[in-house]
Amino acid sequence: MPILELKDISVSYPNCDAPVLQLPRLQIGQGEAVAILGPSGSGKTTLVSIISGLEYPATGSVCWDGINLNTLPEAQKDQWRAENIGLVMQDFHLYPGLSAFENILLPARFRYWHLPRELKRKASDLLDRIDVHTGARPIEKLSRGEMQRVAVARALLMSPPVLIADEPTASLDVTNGEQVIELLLDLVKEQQMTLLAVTHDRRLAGRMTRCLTLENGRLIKDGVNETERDFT
Amino acid sequence: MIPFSILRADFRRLWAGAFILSILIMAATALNITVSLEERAMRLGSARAAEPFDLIVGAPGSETQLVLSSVFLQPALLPLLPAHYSQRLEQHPLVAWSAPLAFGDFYLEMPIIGTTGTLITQGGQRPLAAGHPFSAPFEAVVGFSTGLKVGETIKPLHGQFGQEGAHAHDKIIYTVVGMLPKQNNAWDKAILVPIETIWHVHDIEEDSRHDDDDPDIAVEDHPYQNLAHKTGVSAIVVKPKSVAGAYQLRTQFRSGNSIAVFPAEVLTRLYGLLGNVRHLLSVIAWGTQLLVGLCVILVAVVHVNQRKRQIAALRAFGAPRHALFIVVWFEFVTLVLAGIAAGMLLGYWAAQIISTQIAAQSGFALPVEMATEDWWNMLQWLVIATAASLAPAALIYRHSPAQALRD
Repeated sequence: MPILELKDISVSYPNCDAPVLQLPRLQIGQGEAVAILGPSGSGKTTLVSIISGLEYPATGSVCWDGINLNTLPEAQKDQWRAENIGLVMQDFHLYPGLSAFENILLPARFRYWHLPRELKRKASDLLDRIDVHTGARPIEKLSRGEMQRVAVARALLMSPPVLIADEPTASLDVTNGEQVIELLLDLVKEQQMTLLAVTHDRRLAGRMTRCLTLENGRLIKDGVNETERDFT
Repeated sequence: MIPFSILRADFRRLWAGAFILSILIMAATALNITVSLEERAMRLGSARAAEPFDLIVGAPGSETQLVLSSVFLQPALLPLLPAHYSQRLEQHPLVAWSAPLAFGDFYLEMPIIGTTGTLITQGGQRPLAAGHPFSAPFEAVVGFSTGLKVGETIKPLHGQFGQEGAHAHDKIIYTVVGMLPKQNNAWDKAILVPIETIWHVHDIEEDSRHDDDDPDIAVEDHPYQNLAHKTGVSAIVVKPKSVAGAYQLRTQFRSGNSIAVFPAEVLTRLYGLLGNVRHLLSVIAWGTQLLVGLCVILVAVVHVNQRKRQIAALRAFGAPRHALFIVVWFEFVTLVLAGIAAGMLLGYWAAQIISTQIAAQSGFALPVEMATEDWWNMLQWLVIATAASLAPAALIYRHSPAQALRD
């Protein structure tokens, strides 16, 4: 039973002649760990935007567990995203001036007038889990590795069924990159989540169950662990 | 669902910009408030200062100058009115009391005014703060803020120090015998002496005996030439017995050889003129505020555009658009509110300082009072600023999070 189903997707931008993304059909099952590979400009980030409901395709449908995102009003889509998608990005997008703890709780603060105690406890547990003990220190004072671990913890706070990671190791050194990969995979496994990771990192792609390769906005390969050959 | 932690973090992180914007708003608001308060203080102060002067009679000339010289003790060229007008008014059946005024001498920049005991006690109605009214030549009663005390002596100066023709009356010494109660007007710095002494000092009585010229009018050729060689007075303060009597007196003394004015009436005309100035100042102040407002909106728009990626990321994490809109709007409204509140305080404080300085220099009290009009003005600005802050915040609805994250 697929958790995500894309049909006849086509995305075009005003200045481009050809569609930047064209996917006749794509299905992803629950609990899958999928690497999305491809050179720059191949449509990976656009695919992430489409499946996370940040962008509308010109044609086609994006269905998550039977819900067609294209039919949801903007406010409901925000809510759906908050409840179902955990996002980890290359640039972390942590809020400067806030501590690691406050950053983990930030998306939840937009949803609750008064944060439930369980969420605070969970944020605290996640901090222990990612081994970041920086107290009230502002997030911008942390190392890049620590920052990306905090971003992973933030994505997991609401226990979303799906985690989407866009180049989670691209801006990290080897050691920090490996730490983040381990953390990401361990937590996804613990929480039985579906993981979609856009990556150029062979170490991460090699640990995924399935690899999708995009080129010029089209899916050219869909298979298991063929990373060595497909990376550019 | 506004994460106040974000507001705190933003203000801490962007404190310098926020501070400068608040200062701009504060300065524009303060300017507006100060202009409004000072203009009102000027009106209230002058109206209160004129209260004791129901009717003033003087020689034909500028009515405004007559009021400014006799109520606010502003030295100026005043034609003299023959002294017999004073006697006529004292005996007039419609007059409760009247007193002549003769200007010309000074002591340490404070005017020495020749008058009678009637003015000092205002027809027996006003007790002194200290001492007693003068009862002999060369006695003086001083205003509350002259710094002089009963028993002290002063030597008058004809004219003001540094002016052409000014000279000391070396042989004349006045002894302070009384002190007027505080009046919060220019008279607090006045020194009152018997008018006969003024005439004597300037040999007026003697000269007038030999003068066969027109007995009615003598025009001064010097601001302080009250001392022209005629027996004359600069003005006569009249307290009519009734309102109807005041109007009758005004009619009777508006003949060709004298003028009679209600200071309040002259001040009203002056306010008409000041009103135009006030309008001009208000337009400048409002214009400044408008420019600052536009500047704040411009900064706000630039700021929101610079935060596009940050806001897009929050959207991507599931933050609702309306919550982000409120966060941005709330930040600007907080800045504007802080600026306006601080501006009101600063404006009020500046007006107080200006009034205090004017009062210290002239003895003329300018009461600084907030009126309903000021609160309404500020409320109006708050509403406009709150509404204007919606514009930059509304940009959030126009930004595509996916596009912003790609940029």
